[in-house]
Amino acid sequence: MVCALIVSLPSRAVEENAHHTPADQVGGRIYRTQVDAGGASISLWRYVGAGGKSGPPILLVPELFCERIWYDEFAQALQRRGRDVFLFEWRGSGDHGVAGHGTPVAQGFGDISALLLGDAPAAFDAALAASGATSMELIGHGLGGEAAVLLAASSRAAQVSSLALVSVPAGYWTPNEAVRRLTSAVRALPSTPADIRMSEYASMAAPLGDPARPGQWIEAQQPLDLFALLLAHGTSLSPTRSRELRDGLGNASAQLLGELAHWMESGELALTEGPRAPRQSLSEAWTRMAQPALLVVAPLDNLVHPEQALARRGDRAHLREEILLQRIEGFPEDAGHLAIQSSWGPRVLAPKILDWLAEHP
Amino acid sequence: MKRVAATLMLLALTACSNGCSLARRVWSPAQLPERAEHLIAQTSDGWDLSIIHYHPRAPLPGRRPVLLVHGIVTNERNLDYDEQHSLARSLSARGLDVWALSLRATGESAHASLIGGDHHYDWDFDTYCREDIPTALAFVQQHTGAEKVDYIGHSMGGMLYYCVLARGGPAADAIGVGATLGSPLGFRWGPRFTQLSETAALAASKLPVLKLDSITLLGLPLVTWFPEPLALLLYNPANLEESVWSGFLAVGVDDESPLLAAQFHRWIVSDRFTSRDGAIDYEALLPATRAPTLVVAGKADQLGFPPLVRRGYDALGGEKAWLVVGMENGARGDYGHMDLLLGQSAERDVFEPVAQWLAAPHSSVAGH
Repeated sequence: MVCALIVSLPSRAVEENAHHTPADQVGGRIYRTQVDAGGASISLWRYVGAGGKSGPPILLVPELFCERIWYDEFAQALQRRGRDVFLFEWRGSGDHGVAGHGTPVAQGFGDISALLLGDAPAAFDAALAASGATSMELIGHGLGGEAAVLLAASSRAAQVSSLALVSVPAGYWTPNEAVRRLTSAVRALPSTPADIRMSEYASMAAPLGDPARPGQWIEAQQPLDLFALLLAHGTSLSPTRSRELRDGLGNASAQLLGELAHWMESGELALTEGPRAPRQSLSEAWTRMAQPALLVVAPLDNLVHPEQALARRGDRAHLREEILLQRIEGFPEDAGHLAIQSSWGPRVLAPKILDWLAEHP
Repeated sequence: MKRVAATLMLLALTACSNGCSLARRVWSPAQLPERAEHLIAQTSDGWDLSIIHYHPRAPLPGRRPVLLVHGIVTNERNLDYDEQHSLARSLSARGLDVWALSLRATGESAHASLIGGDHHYDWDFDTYCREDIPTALAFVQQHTGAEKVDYIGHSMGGMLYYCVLARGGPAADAIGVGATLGSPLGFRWGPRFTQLSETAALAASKLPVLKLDSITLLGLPLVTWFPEPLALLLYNPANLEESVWSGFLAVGVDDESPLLAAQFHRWIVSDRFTSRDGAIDYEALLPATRAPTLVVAGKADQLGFPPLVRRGYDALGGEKAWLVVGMENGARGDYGHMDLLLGQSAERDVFEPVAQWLAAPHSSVAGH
């Protein structure tokens, strides 16, 4: 049941839960367990706060398809400041990434509802139980960060004290030609259930330039792939880090990608009944979410435009504050989608978020 | 003592301004293309406005004339810097009949003076909207016989487009199809920049005049040598040649009225796009407008920050389109505020899609 294979341990040893109860867990260390998310077993990590505890536990809700390696440094930065941090991997990613090969979708990676209304609530429940706290703070990232909004607006709302949403769209529309080409490519996928390795997908050339209509779109100066243009754009990453992140993309089913493409094209995300949560509407969740929320916005983000992250800026009913990741605002660069994964994310952004969370308990 | 110092500084700047005006003419004389002519339109409150008419070499039959309007503290040179950096010449070369306006007290339009003279620094945004733009639109209609005039505005020039549409009346009716470039309708940037803007606008509103032309000429070497961080608010160096930026600062920057700064201050404080007295909410009136509009935002534009530009798009009624000029859409780079007009690839990345928008059939506007 417990998956013992640990594929990437970049900086510290992870201890299996089989040998430890929460009472045994040592500050500054990292532990891992498996959680039943209804049809899938997902990995959940606990970064036990170092030194004296300084606030409620934090659940990191990752970007879709992104494995632990994407958030490990950021989680450790929070951990070093005395916070208990929980981080999970979506089904299809990380250790579970091989489980779906050759299996029907229903038994494998599932659909978008299985992730947002299955995996995230399961991780939340397990983390809350393990922490012994009565509520948690959420840090959501990107499209996956919508799960944090759904949790905050669900029957678990009383257990969510506040949120920080980094590049999470409050409304979505096809933001650019690159995403339009991406969704077109998704539409061309075979309809039969198949596992798609997202790292290969991210290496697709960004096909800007339409030979049928010369002059309308010009090619970029450098040949770009989708990872570089949609994710890494605007954020300085070392070649090693870039490779690490590319390799740390999990798997998806054609059905899941098709649903995402529909969301990107229509602006509507239809969520059916999830394994651990009832049917919900994303736009309604944004309206219902009553907790204080910090919106962290990256100006050069090509996947989630700043105007999408701030699409509900006019909604003054609830406390919403903003951080713009711009040089003029004191950040090292005008950031893109991967600010959390940048070299300065753990050093500069993590403390800012923690400071804000501390002011909005 | 402070007043004495301020007065001395003002006198020095005014004296310098005259010298600078001469210097700017020597530095970069306005070199109009062969097929352009300089005309004057007079507003109902007595200001002579400079309008440069670019005759198309090969006019496209049935096309509406196009009025170009620059942004705050600039002038017509923003729309026509030189042969390679010119929205006016680009559209003219495509067969369009182009008219480029210099708002009052900018470019070759009549200027104001602090002491004596016919004109003083007493205008605000509403004055531009009520006087200058309607005058220019009527002038183009009169000279061309066209019922409708297309409109392209950069930065504040686009905000004036929204204002004219919102106010309605003959000027709004005169507009055919529009495009705004980097024109914000909201005024909440990041917390630090918003605070800086608010402080700067408030301070500027207290001055007798904003002598920006002389200051920029004096500060030109500094800005050129140390382009960060102030200049980066205005352009993306990866996208705009330094020589063009330096040259533009010498010829393209003009003085402004403190009342205009006061109106901007009000907008920043309230985050509402209103008349200076707050009585008219221009943004609230936009859903009732019907002019087809292309709203363009620069991906790296920090003044026309895309979420603030998007507010204009969201508020507009009628047919509309949204374009972010950045690498994600195949542009050569992520465009800053001034890059939208002066960027080295603006011809292909900005002017081309704008021209296509004007040329496209729009059901609410008869003819092309």
